[in-house]
Parts: sequence; structure tokens; C-alpha cells
Amino acid sequence: MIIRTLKLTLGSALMALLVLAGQQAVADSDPKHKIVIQVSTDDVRTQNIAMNNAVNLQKALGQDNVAIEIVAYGPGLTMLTPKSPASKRVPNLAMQDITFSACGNTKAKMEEKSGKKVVLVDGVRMVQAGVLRIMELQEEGYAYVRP
Amino acid sequence: MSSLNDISQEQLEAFVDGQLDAPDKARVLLALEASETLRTQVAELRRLKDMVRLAYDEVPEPLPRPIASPPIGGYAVAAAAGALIMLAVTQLIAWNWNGKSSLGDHSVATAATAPPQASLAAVDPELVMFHISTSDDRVGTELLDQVELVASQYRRSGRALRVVVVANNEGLRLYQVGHSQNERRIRELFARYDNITFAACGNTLQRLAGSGDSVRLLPQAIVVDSGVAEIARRQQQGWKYIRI
Repeated sequence: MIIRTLKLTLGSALMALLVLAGQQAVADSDPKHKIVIQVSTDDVRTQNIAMNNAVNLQKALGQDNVAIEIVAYGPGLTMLTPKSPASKRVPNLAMQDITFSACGNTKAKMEEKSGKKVVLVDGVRMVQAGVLRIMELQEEGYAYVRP
Repeated sequence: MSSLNDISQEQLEAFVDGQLDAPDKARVLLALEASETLRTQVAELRRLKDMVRLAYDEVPEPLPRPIASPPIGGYAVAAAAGALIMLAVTQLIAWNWNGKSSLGDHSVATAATAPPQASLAAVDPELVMFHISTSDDRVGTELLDQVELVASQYRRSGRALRVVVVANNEGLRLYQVGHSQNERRIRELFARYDNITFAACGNTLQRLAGSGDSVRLLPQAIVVDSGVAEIARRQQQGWKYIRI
């Protein structure tokens, strides 16, 4: 047990160093503007507006000058699943430097409720919890937008 | 209503702070005599100011410590300290390292690191504010889910946190006695966490009362002058903001 824990710890510590190094590299090229957009509703119109906001911000500020992360949680998670027609746009936008973060907590809850695996569309990454991610980004100086 | 309109929010606050000159003070006193809503508002303003003062004076409660280990000296302590720091780093990274890690795997690390993290965090608690402005029970439930998620995560990892839930406009129904499906949940959360404040918009309350809809709030809710002003103030003080 102790050895396993130790192994885990060492493994995680190594991972920690790698992740830290990665974060350092990101921090060095910090863009001028940082915006987090929250999607917490299953209303497709709002989901599309969120993505329009992201695209327009990129156009207005220049793709290299702005970091945009869309965080979807609660009923908003549907935006990142084939269930919502809005999800069709997600893979393309993800390739244009817009980060899509899916709430792991919501996903787990949905899976528990339906008994089925929730599949996310391409280009989406998972975070532990959407709300915690939004708090973290605000801490990092991201401006908060909720369409 | 006219007596209410005569006294501005600023004047009322200045009155509570004892900063009005004699004529203005007399005018407020006169208005207070005429309006119960205004009296309630003053009482709540006083209460809020007291609470804020208390909140800032308050020393965060120490976290439950892991089972005390017998005193050990020298190298053992150094080694233990080293291990703790390593665990703390691991824990932090596991936190950043999205998705993959379940908290269960790190429960050992959490218990061990709680005291040092807590003493750091006690100086600088995380501040987060949630805002609700709709009466939809589904949204209310979502809000309480998120509040509970954040509160439980911070408690589990031994980090200090303060949460304020601000309800205005139709969102006020969340706190209304006999209205919200979430009433029991609010009572439970309030009982379980002493770092969650439920704040109701005084302007909304007044507006509803003015139109004959006098809302009785759960005792867990405090009344603030204006929900929006409260949000703006706290954002300026560095509070994170999440609108549900």
C-alpha cells in the first residue's frame, strides 16, 4: 500500500514537473486579452451566441492577441455533445484556437442518470468542474462573459 | 411610497453609518417613522454591516487535523515535511491536471496536506459570488448544486473559501418562504457550511412590497441594499463572479 502510494506520488510528481514546464511555456506567450465564456444552458440559441461572441472577439482583437475559452457545464454541456445542433461548429472553432472545456462533474452526473456514456464532439477537453475552471480563469485575469 | 423615494440609498447608508448632519438625519428619522419597509431596510443594513465586520474579524476555524502522530525528531520531521510538500505539489497539479484524476485517488494526499494548506489559505480565502435573477426552480437547483460542489471541494482540500449567493429580481423567489422547492436545500447548506452567505436584493424586496407582494424570506437570507451594487462592489474587491 505504502509502496503503491509512493509510486503514485513519484509518478504524479514527475507529471507535475512536466505540467509546470508546459504551463511556463504558455505563460511566456500570454496574449493581451483573455476571455472566458460560460455556457450553462441547453438553449441552442444561447449556445450559438456564445460561439458567435468568441468568433467576433477573435476578429475584433486579432486571433493572436486573445485567448478564448468556452466553459460548458450543467445543461450547457449539451453544446459539446451531438445532442445539440450547435455542437457541429465546435470542432472547427476548436481548430481556430478557441478552447472548449467540458465539465467532468456534469458529464459524470449525466452518465449516472442515463446509464450511457456521454460522447463529446472533437476538439473538446475535459476539466474537473466547469465552475472551478471559471474561478481559476478569473484568477488568471480572464474577463467573464455569460451570453 | 413617496417617503421611500425621498430617501436615497446613499442617504440611508450614511444614516446607518452615522454620517448624516442633523437636518438630513431628522428627515430620515421622519421617513422611518412612516415606513416599515424603510425600517426593515435600516435594520438589515445594520445587520449586514455587523456581519461584514464579523466576517473580517473572524479567524477561520481550524480544520479537523489528521490523527495526531507521536512526536518524532530530527530527520524524521524533515523527511515528513519533504513528503508533505511533495504531496502538496502533487495535489495541486492533480487539481490542475484536468479530468483524469478522481479525487478519491488523492484522499491520502489531501488529509496529509490539509493543515499546511489551510494555514496558507486562512490568510487569503478564495472569494466567489454566484448570482441568480430568475425564479425557475431548475436554475435554483443548478445554482445550489454548483455552490455545494465548490464548497465541498474546498473543504475537502482544506482551502479557505467564502461564498456569497446574490439573488435579485425574480431570483429572490429562491429565498421566499413557501415558494421555492429548494427551501430545504438552502437550510441544509446553511447548516453544513458556515462560509456561505445568502444575500437578497433590498431594492427588489422593496419593489415587490410596493406592488402588494410582500415576500417573506428564509431566515438564512440577509438583505443587502441592492443586488447589483453588491455584485459590483465585491467584483472590485476581487471576488470571482458566476452568474447562473
